[in-house]
Amino acid sequence: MVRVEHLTIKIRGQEILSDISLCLEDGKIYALLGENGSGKTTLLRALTSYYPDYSGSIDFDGRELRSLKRKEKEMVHAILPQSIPILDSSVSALLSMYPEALKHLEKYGLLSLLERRINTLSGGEREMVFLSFLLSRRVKLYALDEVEANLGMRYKRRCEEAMLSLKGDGRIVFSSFHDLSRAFLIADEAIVLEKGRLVFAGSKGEFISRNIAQRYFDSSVGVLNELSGKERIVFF
Amino acid sequence: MDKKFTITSILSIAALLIIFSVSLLVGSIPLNIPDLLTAGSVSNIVFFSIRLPRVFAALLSGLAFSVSGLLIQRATGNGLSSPNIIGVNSGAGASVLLFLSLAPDMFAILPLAAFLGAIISVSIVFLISSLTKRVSSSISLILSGVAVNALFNAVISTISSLDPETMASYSAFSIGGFSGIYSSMLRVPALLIIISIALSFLLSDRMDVISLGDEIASSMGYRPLGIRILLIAIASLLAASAVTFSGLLGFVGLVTPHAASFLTSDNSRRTLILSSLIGPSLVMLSDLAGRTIISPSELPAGVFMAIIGVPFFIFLLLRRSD
Repeated sequence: MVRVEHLTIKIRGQEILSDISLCLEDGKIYALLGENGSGKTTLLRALTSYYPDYSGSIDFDGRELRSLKRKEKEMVHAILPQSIPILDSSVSALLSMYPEALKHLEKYGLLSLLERRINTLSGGEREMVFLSFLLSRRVKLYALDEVEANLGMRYKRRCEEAMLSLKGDGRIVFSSFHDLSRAFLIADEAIVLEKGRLVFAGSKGEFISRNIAQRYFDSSVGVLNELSGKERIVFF
Repeated sequence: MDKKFTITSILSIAALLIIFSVSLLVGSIPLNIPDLLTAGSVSNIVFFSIRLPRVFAALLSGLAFSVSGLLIQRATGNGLSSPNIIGVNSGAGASVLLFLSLAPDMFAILPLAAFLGAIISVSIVFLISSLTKRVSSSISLILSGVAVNALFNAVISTISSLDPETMASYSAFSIGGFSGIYSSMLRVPALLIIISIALSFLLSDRMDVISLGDEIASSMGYRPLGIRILLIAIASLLAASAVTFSGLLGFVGLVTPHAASFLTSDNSRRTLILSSLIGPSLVMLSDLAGRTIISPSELPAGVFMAIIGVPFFIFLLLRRSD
């Protein structure tokens, strides 16, 4: 369990996150929602040790994040950032850091990219390669920053399957989304930020009953019947 | 991949050894090989007090500038970076010119002046970029480098306008070269360079980590800013040490890391190995060309570094995969 209490992040004197308190339970997928500039990326970074001097508390199973040693930090969190690095080295050169990634690359049919330089891959391929690196790490919290934004339909599905399998493995998945409908497809709970403050944290049912979509996203909710007959919640 | 790297390394080592041997044997004074070990013979004196220190200096300077360039490029995540950009050259140049102008007879302390100048300008670059509070982004480092270079180049222009006579000695220093090298001036820089190279190899895994970006590096528990500062500190020490005996030969520091990463797409340790092999070869070759092509007179190695390096660099740019 990850427990965040009164987390405040200031960058150059400006408060980007203000007094965030929330609790992330093992084996659940949390959708982090919010308009542009609401602080989603900052929160995901804060939970993965990007800011060494945060105020408040970030607690991984009873241990404060800032007090952990280097190796311990590596064991508790992993992130797939919004902008994937554009490296001159090949995919296989990085496998020495992530030896377990090979089986994920194989699963996504990306073995043909092994000897390619990362800066020659397409945006989506690069993202799937780094998703494989992420999945190869065994940690408690997986943070994904708008991972679906640049992916085609098929890779979106692969990515969602990956999140579900992490969940099945008892891990915490914390992923930011702009597409509310896709977030609702897989997430267990929603967390909404507005201007650096937490304005909602709860189940999908509460999200709808408290009219969060209308209040914070200027969107309305509908139900879509898939041809298979399955019902799905969508946002317009 | 491993096979390709092995072949590339063997070829690089072979090239290094050939250039090293030819550099030792060829020069304005022909050597009589059987006499080499006869104490007091002309060949013996030329070989051990002139040729060997000179070739060794070229090798060391190529090694230092190239690894320095690679460290700076990895630390800033920017392929345009080189020892020049963080102010090593302009700082060392301004300081040397200042000493030449104020104390023209004290040639002995010029290496120290170059070292101090380089360290001072790099420190100013660091100070400015840390004041911007965005040191993690390499842009602030490069921009403060540009500003400090402009400042020290202004100092260089001022001294050279006020005291034109110093320019003759300065121009040899500024283009970089190895005439007049004697072995005692290499001792301290060689020691610093060897220690720094060893440290660089120890840090090659960290270079890979920060190449993944600050977010991923932090999530692996590292402090990317600390790693960047450490890499640049070592790079500064390398370049400042080399400047003391070879002058402003910084261009090799831009070319070599690009050549190495053109030859291997592998991890930082392997790029570092290839840079350490290619850089010395390039500088020894430039010096060899400089002292043989128009023999008996000679051109500074920096001239041939440009003649070899510029087309090579353009080739690398055109062949770049992205």
